[in-house]
Amino acid sequence: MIRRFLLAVVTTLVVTTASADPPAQSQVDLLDGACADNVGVTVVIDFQELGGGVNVRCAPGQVSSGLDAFGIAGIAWEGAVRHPGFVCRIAGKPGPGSDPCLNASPDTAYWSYWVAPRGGSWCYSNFGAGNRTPPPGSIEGWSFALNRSGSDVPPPRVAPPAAFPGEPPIPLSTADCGAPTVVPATSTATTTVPPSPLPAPTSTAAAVSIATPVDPGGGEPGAGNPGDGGQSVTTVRPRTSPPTTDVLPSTTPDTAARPTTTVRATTTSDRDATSISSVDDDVGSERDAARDADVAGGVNDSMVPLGSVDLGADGRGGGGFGASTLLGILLVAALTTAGIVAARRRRPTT
Amino acid sequence: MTERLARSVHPVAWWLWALGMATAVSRTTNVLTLLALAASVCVVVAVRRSDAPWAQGFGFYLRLGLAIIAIRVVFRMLLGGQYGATTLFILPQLQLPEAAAGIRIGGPVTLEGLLAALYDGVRLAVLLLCLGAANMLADPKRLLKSLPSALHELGVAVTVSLMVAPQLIESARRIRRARRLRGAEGRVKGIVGGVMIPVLEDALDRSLVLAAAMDSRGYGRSASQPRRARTITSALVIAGVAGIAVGTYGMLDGTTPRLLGVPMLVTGCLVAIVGFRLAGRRIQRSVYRPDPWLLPEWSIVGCGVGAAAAMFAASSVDPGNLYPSLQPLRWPNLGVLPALAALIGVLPAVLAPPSPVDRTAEVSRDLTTPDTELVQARVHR
Repeated sequence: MIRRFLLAVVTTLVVTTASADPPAQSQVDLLDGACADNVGVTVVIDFQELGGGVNVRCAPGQVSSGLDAFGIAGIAWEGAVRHPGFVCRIAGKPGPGSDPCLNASPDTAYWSYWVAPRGGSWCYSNFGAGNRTPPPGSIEGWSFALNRSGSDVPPPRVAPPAAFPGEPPIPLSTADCGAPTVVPATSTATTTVPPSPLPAPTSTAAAVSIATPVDPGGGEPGAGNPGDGGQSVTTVRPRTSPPTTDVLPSTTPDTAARPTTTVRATTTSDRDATSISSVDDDVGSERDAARDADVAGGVNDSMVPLGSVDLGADGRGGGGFGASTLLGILLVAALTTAGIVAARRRRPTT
Repeated sequence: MTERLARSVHPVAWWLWALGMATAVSRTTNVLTLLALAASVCVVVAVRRSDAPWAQGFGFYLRLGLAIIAIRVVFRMLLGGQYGATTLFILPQLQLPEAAAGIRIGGPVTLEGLLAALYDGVRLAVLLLCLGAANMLADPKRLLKSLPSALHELGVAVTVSLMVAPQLIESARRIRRARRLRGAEGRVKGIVGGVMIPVLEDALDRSLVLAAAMDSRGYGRSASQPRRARTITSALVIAGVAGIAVGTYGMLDGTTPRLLGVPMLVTGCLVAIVGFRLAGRRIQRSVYRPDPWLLPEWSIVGCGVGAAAAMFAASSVDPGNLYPSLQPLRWPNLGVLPALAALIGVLPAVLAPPSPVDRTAEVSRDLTTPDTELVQARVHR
């Protein structure tokens, strides 16, 4: 009964959100700013709740670190004053009123750092942006995580741009990834819209087709296919990036669903335990399949607004040696002189 | 302008002013604002401190502040955290194993990293300066005297702990003088035996003397109270003070949850007040020549509160200016409200009445201090 109820809830969610979709924004527009060669590093910035949509820029040429990529791509950013190296603001967001950027951002509102090879899937970086040298042609993602925790932290809402035909992407270092590449449950609804006009990356992918996810618990067959959404769950899963291959299921369709459950068991240790429990197991396998569909880039979000932020502006203005700086120095000098004079005048009495 | 009558200001007024200044300081890392606030604190101390022995050590606080800044900067230079584009120089780097990824010892030193350490150090140093100013301006013994009898038990402990720093400074000054008399000032050789041990010995002796004096005057006496009442009272007082401490922290630190701020502070105050009421009911004490609380006291407290309020207003009007960005590098600007805070903070230099020139304190100190005994004792040893 519980399964049926959950299924009904999920189906309703899927249907309502799918029908409430605004006009689709094609991925081609979104990824216009991506690098045109396999050398530059593409920077994807998703403002999420901050407003401003997904913005894609290219840092052409060699990039020495993730922070360096900002500078080369002409993206204004700001670090925390006391903890330099933590990215606190990108293009002036969040504003100084909500985060003074004195300490590292709180874990309820911070910029999460994602990395991916071309045509691969996002993974949460194990390193800070200042400590990692992105391989040429790879993709860097910045996604604002507001009130998320653990594996609920959303990757950028646009899949990494596809690999260039005939040019295999340079894989990420094996140490780069480690945290799960999980799309939160709430965004599964957005994945069930019809596939975008862009063809799925197929260049080097050993594609796996899951027609009907097998229910590992032996429940109702086809439970993972709620109505129309089931069609889009059928997915092409490229296997391009080495770090993600070991968490993706093997190629035989029979066992396709079972590894997804082990994936959840192994990679989502910090996720809410109830979501892994057997109660929503079949819903979960549907979710996993949808997740794979999302990260594979074959099916894309249609609700992602095109970036509308001037990334070069930090929204704070000024910063040069101005009149107020000079006045400040004069005030300090005047007060200090007054203090010294007062102290001198007293000295003979003691 | 007529010459005002010299009198000592109520010590609580000075403490409230200093705490207000410290609150203002804690709201910013803007070096210009911090230096302006520090300078106004220094002016007030220079103009209005008394000549009593406990009011002589402000230079010590200044030096301690400089030491704090230096330590922070040096450690930041040595221990990583060096981000930013402007590399000043490169220190030899220690290779660490893979497990310590993210930790770096040595390596390039950037302007951004150094400035971050400097900003942080200056803020801490100025906070310390504010507390030092309170110690220099407020007579700790009069502070204890002026506390209401309900705050008696707590007040004794607080006053004794507040006395520690001024007493240490005073001891150090006296012992330095004694060394100078013996012509041993510049020598580094006997610095441990000749300075540190006498200072600590002196501080301990004075604490014991203070404790004995307080005991003989009936401080901390609890024999007349039943054990049960004493337990309840102290539990309430401790819980209340803990609540006040947590609440103050929550209010001053903008990143803590809202619930830990004002609600916690109010609850703590209520619990503490109940505790103090219970405690105060049994203690009857008369005060000889209580310090008056007149218009100057009100204006001094108002200046401290005003400075803090100006900074709070600045953090909602122009928050970007309070925490100047280091990545990218920006010149710190002095906003209107922070400048106003500094100018309000310096007003007690004019508003407070001049402190009485206490020649007797100076004379009696020379007569009673064990400088000569100390010298003799050292010679005999």
